[in-house]
Amino acid sequence: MADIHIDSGIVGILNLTSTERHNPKRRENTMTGRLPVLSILIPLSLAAGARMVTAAEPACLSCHSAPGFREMGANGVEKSLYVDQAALASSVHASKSCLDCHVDFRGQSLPHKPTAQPVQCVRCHRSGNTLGTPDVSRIHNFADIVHGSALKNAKPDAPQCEDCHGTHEIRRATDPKSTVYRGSLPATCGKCHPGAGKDFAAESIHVLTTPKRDAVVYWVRMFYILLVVGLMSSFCGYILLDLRARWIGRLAWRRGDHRR
Amino acid sequence: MTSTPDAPAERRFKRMTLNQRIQHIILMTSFFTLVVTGFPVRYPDSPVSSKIIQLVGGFTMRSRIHRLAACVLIGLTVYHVFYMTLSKHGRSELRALMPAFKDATDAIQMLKFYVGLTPNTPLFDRFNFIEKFEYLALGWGSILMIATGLMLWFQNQTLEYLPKWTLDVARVIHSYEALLGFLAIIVWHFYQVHLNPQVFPMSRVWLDGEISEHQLKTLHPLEYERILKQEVGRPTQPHPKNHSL
Repeated sequence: MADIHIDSGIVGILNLTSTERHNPKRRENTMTGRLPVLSILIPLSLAAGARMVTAAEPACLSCHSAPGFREMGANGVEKSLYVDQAALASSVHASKSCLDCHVDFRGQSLPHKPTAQPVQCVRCHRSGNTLGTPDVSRIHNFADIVHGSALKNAKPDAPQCEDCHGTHEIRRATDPKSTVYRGSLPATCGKCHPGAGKDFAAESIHVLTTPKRDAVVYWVRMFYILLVVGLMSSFCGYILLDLRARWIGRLAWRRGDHRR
Repeated sequence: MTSTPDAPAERRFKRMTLNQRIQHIILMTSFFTLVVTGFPVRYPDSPVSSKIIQLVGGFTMRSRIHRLAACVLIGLTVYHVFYMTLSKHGRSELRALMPAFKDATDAIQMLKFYVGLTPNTPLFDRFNFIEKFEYLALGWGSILMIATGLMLWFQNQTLEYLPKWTLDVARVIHSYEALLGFLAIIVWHFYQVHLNPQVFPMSRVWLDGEISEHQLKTLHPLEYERILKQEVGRPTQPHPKNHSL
């Protein structure tokens, strides 16, 4: 962890962007222009960390612990790449390695590629996982739910897990400091649904239609399934009876026929 | 019934006015647009969904088209309510479409006829129990679809007053009611007006608004009888015991 403290200090002073850090040419130009004295130190510190990224020793915080560490997004808006170590330490994922979630950086050398893939929470939060993590895969498999359907359809405004749960600061839903704590939901939901009232999240956000949980949604859904199956069976039965009556000559077969 | 060159043309009766036919075409167009553009939301994993989204130019465009068609359906529904309550012909049609006890007995008699318990089919008036059921189901379904669709469209405004679970229920209703409506049209309505051997390949009433004398006599004998009674100087013809429905 020693190099983490050293690097974070340097990076914090320089306030480099991610693009600058991961692009040697731009990094060099920026550093030369900004702070010539430290232009040697940064490549050296990076060179010292130019090793394979492993789960056991990710060294990610050597850069990402700097509060000013950021990158320019494709939309022209700067995005912070800072990881609050205190928040991370108090989160439910405190014992996890960075690479447990950011799997696309496994096996890469530092400096790693500049583009990170979105974290797939369902890698762990799936049914049958052996880690004991909450299973949310049913939410993604159920198209009747607004958020699940939006995600599956890749709607531009579809919420990702982190939009509600946060990223490195994720806490249990029973923790009052959690963004998904019952009392915090109006504010969290209000980010996308302005004006959401205090009763907004009176029921589940992750709807799982069972008789015990989300019973109203469950029974409405069951009613419609029975209605669709019942009505379609009745329609098909009636049509078959009608066709039979025409086939055996009790009703007209062709247009204009009185009898077959 | 094959017509010959010397045979007089069969008399035809008006069944749908031009106004009603235009309403039907608008309903048909908006309905199928809503079905096609709503399919990707109901079945996001289907390869058909990705084709539809690609065809219409993306998910956002899909949403716009869906909502445009919804506006057309809402406008038509509002117009139809005024038409059926304020116009003389509309009120007459509405009265004829109201369910009555005879519809229940007609349905039972029809089933008894199919299984051979009675030799005669029921005598239908202007609208039989199937047509009444279709119309009322369409009306009720439209109200539900419009109400839940508006909740989902204006979800933030909805959530200002209602808890989230109402939106989940609205989505379930919107989704399954759409499925029900689509299947009802494809299975039930298409059989009645397209695939039924007696009208195959298609009843032309929705295009020219007319029905032949033979079809009126056999499909709606009570209405046929009433029309003849109203016509001066034309005797009433007794209806046959068996009707070639």
